[in-house]
Amino acid sequence: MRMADSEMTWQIVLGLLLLEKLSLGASNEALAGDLLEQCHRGRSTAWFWGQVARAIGRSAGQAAVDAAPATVFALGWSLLFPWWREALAGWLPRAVPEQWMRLAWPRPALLEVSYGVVPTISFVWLGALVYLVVRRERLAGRSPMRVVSGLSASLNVLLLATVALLHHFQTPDLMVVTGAHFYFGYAVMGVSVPVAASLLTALLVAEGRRPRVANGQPGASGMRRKMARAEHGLRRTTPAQGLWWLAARTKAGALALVHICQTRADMGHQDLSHVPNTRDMGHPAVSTR
Amino acid sequence: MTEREWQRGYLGEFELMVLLAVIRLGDEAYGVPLTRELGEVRGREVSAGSVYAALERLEAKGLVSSNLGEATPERGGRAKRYFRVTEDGLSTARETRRVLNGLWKKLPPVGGDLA
Repeated sequence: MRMADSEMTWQIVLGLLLLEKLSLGASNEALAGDLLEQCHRGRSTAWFWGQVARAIGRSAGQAAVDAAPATVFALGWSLLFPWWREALAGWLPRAVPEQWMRLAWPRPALLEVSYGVVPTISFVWLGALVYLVVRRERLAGRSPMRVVSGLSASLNVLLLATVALLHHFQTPDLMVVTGAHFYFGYAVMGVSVPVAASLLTALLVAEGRRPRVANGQPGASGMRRKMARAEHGLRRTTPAQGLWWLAARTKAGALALVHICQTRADMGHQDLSHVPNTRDMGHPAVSTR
Repeated sequence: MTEREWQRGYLGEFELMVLLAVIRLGDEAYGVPLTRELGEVRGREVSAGSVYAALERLEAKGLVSSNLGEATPERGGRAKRYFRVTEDGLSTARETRRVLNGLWKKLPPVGGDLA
């Protein structure tokens, strides 16, 4: 069936939007123009959608191939997580002075969260830095702020996973975050999914999209312009600003986590006023009451 | 052409077809005529996305170059992207033809015809 003028508007607009947003190629703009041109010459709606679907599918396949090294590394590195937890067990509580636990809400709760999150996120960030040093050629010509963005994004993923795990264990009690097995609440074949996902996010964001066209070639595609704008924005950020941004997002994420748990507690699950005292109980194992 | 240059400029089957289509179309080599030309020669529909993917690989290898052309209303204001073969692309195409011709000529007859 040929595409009528009345049909073209929303169907083509939707297809072109999907093509330009979901396809990672450097020629999206030209490809979209070609498809539109052929539609005006009488190609059918079915043909148009077939071309869009194949372009997006091909792009997704290529993205999966590009992400394979980072995925393999994230899974492999995550296997080391139990040893890392064990190595740090008992160190963090001793590093925090006792009097801090008598501070006003929500600081004690933040400290409680930090006992669980800090060893985990430090493991993720160490893995990210190891990978990026080994594959530093992938960062050539990129702003160092990409690395900071990657670390920040990995923290977001870990905090979201922490909230999801608290929900999974049916408890608002922040104490469970310190449990050695907490991040194995979602695990596949010994790999902690939150840890692997957090690390993979850091690597993919740090590496960013790479155009398949050689540098210096003409053809200012939409993707290239968007990448150039993003790189320009990152280059204008100083290292101090980047670190401040990372610290601010860390604090905001931890506060959000604490308040989510507090809200759950206020809804009748449990009063968190005892949380500062939970350190006296050591590092409890995760319960699924 | 050295072994290293040959390896770097190695062409897959579809890439070679696209490169030859770019050479044949000359100044008119952009997505629509390239896709039509390849579809006619192969005798079946060719995905425009796969043509662009091959073109991007060829451009990354330095075998073709591209520049933006005019934006027409029927393309929704989007510019055409014209491709042109480079000197490296021409020499790679010649070298590939020489090698393939040599291999074809050395095939033994099978069933009264070349294998």
